[in-house]
Amino acid sequence: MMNKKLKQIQIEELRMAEPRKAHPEEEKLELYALGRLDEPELGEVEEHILICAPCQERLDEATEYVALMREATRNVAVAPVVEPAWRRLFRLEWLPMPAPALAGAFVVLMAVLVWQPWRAAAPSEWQQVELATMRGDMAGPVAMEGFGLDLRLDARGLALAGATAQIVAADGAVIGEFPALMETDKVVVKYAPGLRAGQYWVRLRVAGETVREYSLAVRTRGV
Amino acid sequence: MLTIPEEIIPDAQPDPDLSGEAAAEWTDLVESIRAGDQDAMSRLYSTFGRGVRYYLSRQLGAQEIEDKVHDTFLVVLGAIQRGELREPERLMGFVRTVVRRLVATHIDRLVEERRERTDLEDGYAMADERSDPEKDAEQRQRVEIMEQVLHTISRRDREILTRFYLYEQSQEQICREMGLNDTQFRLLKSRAKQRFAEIGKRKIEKANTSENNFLRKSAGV
Repeated sequence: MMNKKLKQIQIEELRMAEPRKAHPEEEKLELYALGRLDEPELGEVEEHILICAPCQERLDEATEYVALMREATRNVAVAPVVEPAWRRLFRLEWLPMPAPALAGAFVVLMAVLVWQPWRAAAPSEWQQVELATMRGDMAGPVAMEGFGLDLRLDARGLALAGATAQIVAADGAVIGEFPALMETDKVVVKYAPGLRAGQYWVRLRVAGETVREYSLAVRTRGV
Repeated sequence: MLTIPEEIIPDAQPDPDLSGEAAAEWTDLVESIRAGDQDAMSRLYSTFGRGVRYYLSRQLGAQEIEDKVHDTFLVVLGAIQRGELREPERLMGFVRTVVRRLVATHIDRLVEERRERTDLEDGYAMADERSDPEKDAEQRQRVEIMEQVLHTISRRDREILTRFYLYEQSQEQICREMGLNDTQFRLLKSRAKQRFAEIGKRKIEKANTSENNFLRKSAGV
């Protein structure tokens, strides 16, 4: 009986002799659950988990939370929420900075708005453009300068988990990259600034690889 | 007879962060096992048994765990007794590496078997890993609560969480592209978690109240 108790104490001493590798913080456990932890932190967490039962439970909770978040964000991304404008206004979280800094930023913003150097990129109207991959020398879709772009990309036959949509200029410069939000079998990309006249490419990318590319020409208004 | 591939027996790397006390404890355990102390072998199993089982179940599911646990300790004990654990204070790292390599070998073997197998009707049994209906219902409810949390936050915050959890973008990329600092990012994540807990708690309280009212009415109280 005494030996058994002594043995138990020795086991606990072994477990407690590792406080320096102390219990991993929540963020680290979350990254481990997401599979995004690298060495040496990966090794630290895994070694600690081998001997710490409470942290095994914490890791189970983190894993469950991550799975919930993934499923919920996927569901909500597919069916985007339309929030009433009044609710957005009363939500103070949209304030990007403290009030005095905000006031200063507002003054600068008003000055720049009066100057409007980007006139072509500040549209008040939206244009919806359907994009599909074209064969041969068929003419691609055309958008107008001065409009916000509501792009609908034909995504039939593609597996787009974790995909992004990239707008690229003719010289290869990436203008913007956005999460690919699905509506039925189309990816919706909204680009409020609009584009200047010229040739562009819109690319659907998964894990850093382009899976489909669309041509988009932008013309000057009245042409 | 069990054959453990050579490559499963790793070299333990020295750990500069290990405290003197911890190092002494592990060294003492390793030396005791080398001396043939049965109690020490038992201590090894008691210290690591649960953790090894936990790690294996995360990687491989519930099947075939006991064999793998047994294999892990065979490898570790064998290496210790042959004097192959040159850094006894790194026993934890050694055990971790052994179990990781066992998992990798097992997965490689599974992939090879599936490649060779041509006909499922030969009697290959696949475990049904679906959870039971009650757990499914609980899970659905939890997902709905999380969706509710996402509906209550701004579109921008929702995009940040979507990028992190669904599109698997790194914190650095998200902060860079969306103009956040680390603190703002962490705060957003912890707020979402807090709201999830709050809404979940309210729902449970509401469910309990409804159940109590029902019970009271049924009892005529």
